Amino acid sequence: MSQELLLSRDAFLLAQELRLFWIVGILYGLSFLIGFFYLLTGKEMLGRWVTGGLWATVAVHTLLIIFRTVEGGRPPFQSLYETLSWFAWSATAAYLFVHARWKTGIHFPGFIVAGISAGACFYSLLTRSPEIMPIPPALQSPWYEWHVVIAFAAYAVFVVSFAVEITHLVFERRFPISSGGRGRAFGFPAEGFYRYAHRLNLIGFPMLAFAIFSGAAWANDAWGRYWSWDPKETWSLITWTVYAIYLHSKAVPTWREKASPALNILGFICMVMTFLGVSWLAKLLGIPSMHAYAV
Amino acid sequence: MPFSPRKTLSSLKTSIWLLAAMCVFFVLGTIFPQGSELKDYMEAGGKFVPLVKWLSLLNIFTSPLFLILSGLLSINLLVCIYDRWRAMKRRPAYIPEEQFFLNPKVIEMPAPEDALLLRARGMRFKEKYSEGGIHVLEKGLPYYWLSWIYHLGIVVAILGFLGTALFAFEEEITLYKGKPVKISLYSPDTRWNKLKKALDINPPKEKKDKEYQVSLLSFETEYNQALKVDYPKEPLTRLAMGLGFKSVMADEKPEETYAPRMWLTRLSIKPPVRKELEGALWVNHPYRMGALTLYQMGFEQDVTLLVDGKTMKIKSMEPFQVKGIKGDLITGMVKAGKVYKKDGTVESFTPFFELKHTGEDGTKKEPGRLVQGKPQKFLGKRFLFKRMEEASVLSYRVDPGVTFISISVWLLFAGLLLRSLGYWGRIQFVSRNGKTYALLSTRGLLANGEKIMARLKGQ
Repeated sequence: MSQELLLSRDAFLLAQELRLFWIVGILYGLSFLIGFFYLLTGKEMLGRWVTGGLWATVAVHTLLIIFRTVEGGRPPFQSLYETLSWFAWSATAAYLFVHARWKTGIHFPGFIVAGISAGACFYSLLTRSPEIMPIPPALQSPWYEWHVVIAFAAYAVFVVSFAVEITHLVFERRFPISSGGRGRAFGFPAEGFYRYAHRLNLIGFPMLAFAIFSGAAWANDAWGRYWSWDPKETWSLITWTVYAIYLHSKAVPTWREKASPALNILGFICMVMTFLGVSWLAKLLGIPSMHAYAV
Repeated sequence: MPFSPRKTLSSLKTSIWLLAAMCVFFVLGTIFPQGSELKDYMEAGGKFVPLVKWLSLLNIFTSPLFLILSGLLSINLLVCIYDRWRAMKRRPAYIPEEQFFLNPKVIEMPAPEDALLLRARGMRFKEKYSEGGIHVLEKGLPYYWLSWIYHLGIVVAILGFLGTALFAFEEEITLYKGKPVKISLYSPDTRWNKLKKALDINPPKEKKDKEYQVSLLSFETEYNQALKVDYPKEPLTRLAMGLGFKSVMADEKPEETYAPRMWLTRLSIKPPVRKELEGALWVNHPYRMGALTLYQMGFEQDVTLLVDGKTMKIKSMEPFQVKGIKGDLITGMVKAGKVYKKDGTVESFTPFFELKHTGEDGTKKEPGRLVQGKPQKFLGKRFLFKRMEEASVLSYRVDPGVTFISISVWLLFAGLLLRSLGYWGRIQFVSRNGKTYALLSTRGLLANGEKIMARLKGQ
């Protein structure tokens, strides 16, 4: 096949992939919208549609990720365009796994996860370049897959924990079960949700620790320096420290009720900063980052 | 209550506040450009100058305040670890009877003591904790030891950081063909040696027995041909493309899509005692020889140009001026070496680079591409790219802290993982007046208290 023909074929495949990605983004958006009506009406059926919608979307999204992997001939998390898609997929998959495993029968966190995933997809589609570039020398390491997969698994768990914590806070304040109103309709078990968020962070915390360790080991292999106080490294340490504070706050009786949920939300914000905000910060303040390839 | 420094230092709340204060420093470290000079910061229009100066915000991670805070956190951690160690050593054998019956989680079991002990097979019977109708059984890895282990891991990591801060040093070398460079695994500039020098204790001297001689044999670059597409920036056009109203087109200039694949350095090293050896290294694949490790950091390209017949020596990607052309000229990276094409073929290509011009008013232009050996007329001048010499930029580092960090990583990760995801369960039976009562405690995500209870109840 001639060069031109090969490049045209790749452009055609990329066009198909983009279409699929738009469909995925729209499906996430639809799940989010249904979730919004579920919140307004409290109808159980709408809640089940949110979860069902997310199952369908994640199935299509899995196909998209396989497509991209085959197309690029490498793992699909090199550029920010790809990692945003990977983030949306892993957050939704983690939510659906938790939902199926813990059988809460509560669909509200799915509404939040759908919103976050839709946001990630549209941010990727509208602002990033979908070009498939080969792996640059800096990323050619056995640590690459481990580091990224585990870091994003931790992010996914933190997204679900955040969604569960928000559910807990919103329902506790707006629809207390004792009122017998909408809270009862949602079958809100405040105590359970409070525990779920904690258990999720117990899973995410060692994962984030591994992501930081593997990143340090990788940096030691690449540059002989395991830590450089690069903005991304520092923000991952901030996120880890905030979750460490969260876990310790659970052991302080006076902090358990109010400080812990606030810390969980702060941890999520720090996680978003680590993933996206740090690149904006680096651009805004002109601070060089060794993770510039992830922008 | 009277103030007790020891109690305050070992309290959980102190740990939390110290961690929170560390976070504030971390955040500041990502806002202020670390390692820059105060003068440059002021010239760039930096704000809060007195505060920046007073708190050393441009070198925050070596500032006295940060070091004091790190020291306090380390002391807090050490005191906590010591206290926990003592607490675990004198851990009560079992919950005393009067406290046991006050616990709302105590349940009456539907079976006699003997049957319960039989059903609890698989659990460790803690004989020394059991007496007078009280039995304690355990299963899984004790969470309190795991928690202690990962806190110990943090202490070992801090020792590693201290080792790095005091003894580590790093140097960069630029290797040209035919110009060997001597490097030493001893540096008088480590913080430790500087401290010794300042205190005049055994001042450091150069050590010839730690010197290596490194020579460049070759530096090779390789590229991959990639797909560059004509993709719009406007969101609506992107949506139109996504919905199929517009198609994605491949870029028509395939040579512009050469993405770096590999920077490979082949070198020879003469160690202090052994004979000369040859080796190769590339990014993520350092070259190790005894205590020496060399890392591929980058490269330098020295370009020889002829401008209207006059020879000019410039460095790629660094601005230069040409008489008669207002403003600055700069070259892109000189691409040279081999390219792995999409059709599976590998081709060597003639080196080339893009020339860029920035006018005095800041306007940017890209006059075009210069291919080695092919004269081109740009901005009214005749340019010829004559030759290029590439140098490999390597670094080497000596860091005794890494060993401690590696140990700490294992302690921390294994402890955290087993503590969070693992399984631990302890059950205490108390038999009184012909009835048996049980209290079950579990830790870890895999611990299923309901399952243990169901088995004990014979369900």
